Amino acid sequence: MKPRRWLLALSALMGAGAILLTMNLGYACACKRKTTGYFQQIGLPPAATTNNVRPGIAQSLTGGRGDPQAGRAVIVNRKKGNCLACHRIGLLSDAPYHGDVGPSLDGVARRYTEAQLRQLIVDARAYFPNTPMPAFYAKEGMHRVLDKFKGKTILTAQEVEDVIAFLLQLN
Amino acid sequence: MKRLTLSCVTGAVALALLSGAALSQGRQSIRPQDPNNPLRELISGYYFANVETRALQDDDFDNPGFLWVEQGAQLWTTPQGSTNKACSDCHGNAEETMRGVGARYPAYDKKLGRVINIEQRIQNCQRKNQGAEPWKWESRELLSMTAYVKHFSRGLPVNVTVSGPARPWFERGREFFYKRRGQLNLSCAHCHEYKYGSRLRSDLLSQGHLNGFPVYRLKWGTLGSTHRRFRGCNKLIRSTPFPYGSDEYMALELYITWRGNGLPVESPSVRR
Ligand code: HEC
Ligand code: HEC
Repeated sequence: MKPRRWLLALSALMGAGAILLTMNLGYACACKRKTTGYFQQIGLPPAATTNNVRPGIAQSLTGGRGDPQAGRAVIVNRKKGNCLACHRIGLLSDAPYHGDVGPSLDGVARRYTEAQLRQLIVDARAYFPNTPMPAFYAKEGMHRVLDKFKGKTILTAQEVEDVIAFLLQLN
Repeated sequence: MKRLTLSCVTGAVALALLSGAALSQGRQSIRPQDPNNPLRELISGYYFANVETRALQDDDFDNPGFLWVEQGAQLWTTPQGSTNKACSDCHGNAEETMRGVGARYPAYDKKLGRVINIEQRIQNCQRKNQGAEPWKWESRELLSMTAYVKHFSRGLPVNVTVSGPARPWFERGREFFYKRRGQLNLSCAHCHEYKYGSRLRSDLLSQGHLNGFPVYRLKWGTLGSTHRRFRGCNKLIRSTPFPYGSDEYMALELYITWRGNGLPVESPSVRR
């Protein structure tokens, strides 16, 4: 009797799994969705595709190359880049809770040049004027910044270069 | 084998039904009455909370916010201050006299010449009519009385007035809502208008409505006011918060409450 019951439970579970797989909508599979948000979005343009016309920032902010390993740490750190709050990155799936406020960053090195990625991290408003993405290396035009962060950029020049070095691996 | 397939199908159907219900619930929305409302659909924060949190809110016995409501009921009949009067001495039975009040605040007060919310209405009554020292913001007593008064409007549609003398406050609140601020350089609109329904980490971004306040937040382990939430969201984007009861937050509260005009009052709500 006992193993039978166990089988029954298992089969019910399998049924549940099948349903979850086929039900490609709503909360259950939210993590798999490419678009941002399940409800109607207003006001923001769709995520960008490649735009070779945009010049970007060609010069490294430090004069040197960044370190992708250090960049990975900046991206994951909630007090630094905190990029996963808004973006999914397949390579970093071991880090929990990737948000979907912004598009997935998988393959981002195919969509943007290094100079464009630098512009996006320094201040994405150059490409997306109304973006929610913080300007990680902008010092001016901020309003009512907490004393602790006043006059400081979110990332240092080195950290920006490190993040770019990591993103360049996502191709 | 037959039995196995059967149970497989039953399990699947049951689950489909269950999640179907959850999904349709997750989308329950109403149309804004005011054509100037920038939101095309109004969705209570309730539907952005997870199922366990909703269940806590749904049951008055499980809802921790009702501990405050109960204390509010006691305070209602407790004499205070130099006049030794209780709220009930002037307002009688709260169930009758307070119904609907929670749905129309914040409101412009002629005598004070400013927009005030329920908390300030209570504080003003203490000062003027009871001759008592007003309860402080976020004190157990003020939260209790606020929750007590507001919960009599549960189910009634939020309906604040933003015309006449309230207009400048409304405009000011709107300006606040759309202004980028803090080191992260975000406005309230970025998260609660353009990106609601998206996940910020593990949080499902809502439209930031106020129809459930004061709210019991599991993270706080207590009830909290609208202004506490404003301060939290300001600090989240590394912006200097405004003081409790400040004109800035009062204007913001009026504006955001208007955005939710038509949503049912749900106080006290429960959130993560
Ligand atoms: C608060 C949300 C938020 C945070 C935090 C954030 N981003 Fe973004 N990001 C966005 C959004 C939204 C977009 C899409 C552009 C738009 O519509 O505004 C975007 C776009 C991008 C793009 C272009 C992607 C494409 O395919 O067009 C890159 C690259 C990028 N972000 C990298 C990063 C990195 C690296 C970090 C952390 C250092 C980061 N973002 C942090 C919200 C965010
Ligand atoms: C970086 C994103 C972000 C920004 C910017 C932001 N918030 Fe929030 N807010 C959140 C998150 C996350 C929550 C919790 C989930 C939810 O209810 O949306 C929240 C919740 C709220 C709630 C509670 C809603 C409910 O039903 O309980 C209110 C009210 C609110 N925010 C108001 C504001 C105001 C006012 C501003 C601007 C001063 C603001 N928020 C800016 C992220 C943000």
